[in-house]
Amino acid sequence: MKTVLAQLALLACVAGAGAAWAQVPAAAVPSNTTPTGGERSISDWLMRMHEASRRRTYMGTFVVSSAAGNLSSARIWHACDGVQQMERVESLTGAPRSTFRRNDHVVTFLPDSKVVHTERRESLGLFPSLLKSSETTIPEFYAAQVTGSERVAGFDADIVQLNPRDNLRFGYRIWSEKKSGLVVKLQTLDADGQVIEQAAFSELQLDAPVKMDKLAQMMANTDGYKVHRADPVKTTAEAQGWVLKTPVAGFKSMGCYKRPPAGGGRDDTVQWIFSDGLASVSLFVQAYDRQRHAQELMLSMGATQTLARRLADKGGDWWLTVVGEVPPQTLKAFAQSLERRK
Amino acid sequence: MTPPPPTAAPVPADTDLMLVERTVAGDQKAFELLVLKYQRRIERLIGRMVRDVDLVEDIAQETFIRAYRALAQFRGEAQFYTWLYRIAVNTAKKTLGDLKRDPLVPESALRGGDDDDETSGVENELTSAETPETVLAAKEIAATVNAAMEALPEELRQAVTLREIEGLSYEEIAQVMNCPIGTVRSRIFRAREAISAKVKPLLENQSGKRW
Amino acid sequence: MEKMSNMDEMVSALADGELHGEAFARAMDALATDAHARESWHAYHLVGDVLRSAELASPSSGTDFVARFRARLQDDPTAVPAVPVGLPVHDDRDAPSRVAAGSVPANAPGFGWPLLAGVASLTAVAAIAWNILGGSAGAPPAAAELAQAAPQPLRQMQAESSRPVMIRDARLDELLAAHRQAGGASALQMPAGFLRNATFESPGR
Repeated sequence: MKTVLAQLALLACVAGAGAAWAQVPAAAVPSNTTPTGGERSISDWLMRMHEASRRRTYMGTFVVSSAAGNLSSARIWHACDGVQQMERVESLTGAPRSTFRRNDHVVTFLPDSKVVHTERRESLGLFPSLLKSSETTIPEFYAAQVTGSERVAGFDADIVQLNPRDNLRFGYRIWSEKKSGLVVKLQTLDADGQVIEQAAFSELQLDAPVKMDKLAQMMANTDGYKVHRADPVKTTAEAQGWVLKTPVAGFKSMGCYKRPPAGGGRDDTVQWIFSDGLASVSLFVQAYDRQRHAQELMLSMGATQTLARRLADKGGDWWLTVVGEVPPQTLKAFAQSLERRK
Repeated sequence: MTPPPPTAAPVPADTDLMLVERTVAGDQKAFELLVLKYQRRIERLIGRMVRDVDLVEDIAQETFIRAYRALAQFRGEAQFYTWLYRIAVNTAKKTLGDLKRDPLVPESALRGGDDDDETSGVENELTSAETPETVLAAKEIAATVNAAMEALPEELRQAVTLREIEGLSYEEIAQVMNCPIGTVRSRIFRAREAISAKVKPLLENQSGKRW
Repeated sequence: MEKMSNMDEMVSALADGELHGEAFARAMDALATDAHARESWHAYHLVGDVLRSAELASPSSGTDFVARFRARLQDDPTAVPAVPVGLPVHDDRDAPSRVAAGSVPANAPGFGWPLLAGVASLTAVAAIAWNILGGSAGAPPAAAELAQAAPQPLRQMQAESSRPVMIRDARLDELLAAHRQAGGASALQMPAGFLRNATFESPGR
């Protein structure tokens, strides 16, 4: 898996000449031609956006806000030198927090408690293979149109609207910087077209002089901090004894991991990840604990919805938490479909 | 073509820091220039958390007051705006917290307070709390700025773009445009003047009323 | 540098940090006394803001806002910047929760989970005190510590949710963080997802 990842990273990081950004790699993109009011198909648009976020070097201030009024923002730096990707995120709201990422390795510093968490997050970087495969079903479940252009944070951006074809997913309005494709603003829309979450750069510098070695230095400097490692272990749902009796339309399994016990629990947590290409859903299964596990709950934070409930059968007693950037009924569909292997 | 000989231009200063220093030295008017500069951005930020127009302004005022009071603690390691930003968010959160505990405050004043209220006219966009009138006025201003930019002579447009959007210094712009720094300064000024002249009639006059 | 005959041109240069020495001092004096100079300062910054983001367009001329600011300052005799009054940038109320290292301030709306309306048994939920982890030295506390930790006051819960009720739970936050790590599985998760991951992440892990 690591070799494949390294290859993907290399592919994604090859720094092209400036003009290359405007071109779409001809062979790689499937020929689904959902009309987008232009020459590009959905896959073209999404691939550009994705590649821009990985290959470009930029820094800026990023703000996430939800209809409920939650607001958080951070300063971010991102650099790619053709071999590696590095990222740094400094929180501007809430408790201080510095996150560093080099490819799939993430280190989070918490200055208040002098603790640093370090993890390898294997799942980052799956997307390119998802889109390149001829099995991509994004156009089957979303319709795309370019609805205009607008300037965000000093950059002209095309506005691409992705409308879901069913009620199992949200819609999106994406501001994609004209030259590079970088997503500068993203709105998540519910079934009525209301904005439930917005994530945007309020300031942005593309091709900023971000020094990778400086970031690497900061990332490695854990002096005075207590280090906590927590690498999730790759497994399969099958091996863990779970199956989805009815698939949820559009969502494919992207992997299953065992995570070390969290928050006072004794057992591992199993995380089974699904995605329809734009939205992802995680099914977390833990051993049921009457003390810790309360009533069934349905929660919402911006675009992220959570459903938590007990799951019991002859084989045992579990606590299921379903989290995803999808409408509540989709979480319910997953919850109702999950069962123990016979 | 050889570039112009390097002039002995000083490195551009951090205007915000200069204004902060003058304020701390006793010049309150210098701080008011910072207020004029950042009022819009701070109100936009707060408007994402708060629905009521008056409340947004109130919190913005409070933000600048707190910043003014705490100015001596601003050491200039971070950008002034980053520091101001944190104060705005904390002030908004504190105010929202206070208001939520006050039984007399109508929930319509707070974001998230009327999710179940069908008559509240939930907005489509997460813009700051505005009346339809100000939304229209804002759109007009944005359109006017864009049109005015298009109408500028090429060298003026280029100069102001390099300054405002690319963030280059006068020295850097002089090299890019291959002209003296004095010319850069003049071009940027004339571009701003031309655009402002078209925008000023759209602004509220001194007494707060539209023309 | 050639002299500028036009004060507005000096204001323009001052806004860019490109005015120094005597010219800087003269421009600052003009801005203090001349309403037209301040109008230009305001207008040039408005133009710059709008060039960068259409959202920042506003018909306000700023004069009313500044007038109100001045009035408020006058009413407040302690508002003197040269003498540090010791008003912290972060809320005093945040201070107690900061003592429990890494914990989330109980009243920070950014980290709550608003309950969706229509959830049954709200009172039942209220009865189960979901302890907010104090995050001592960052290690997740054992179950025993959890039971002993004094429950932080949750926000006022109402029997009828006419507005979202906030629940804070560090365990949920951990799962949320784990979910967002899976962001690579979706096109739109980068940079938005990873950044949302980083911005929403609970510090109390």
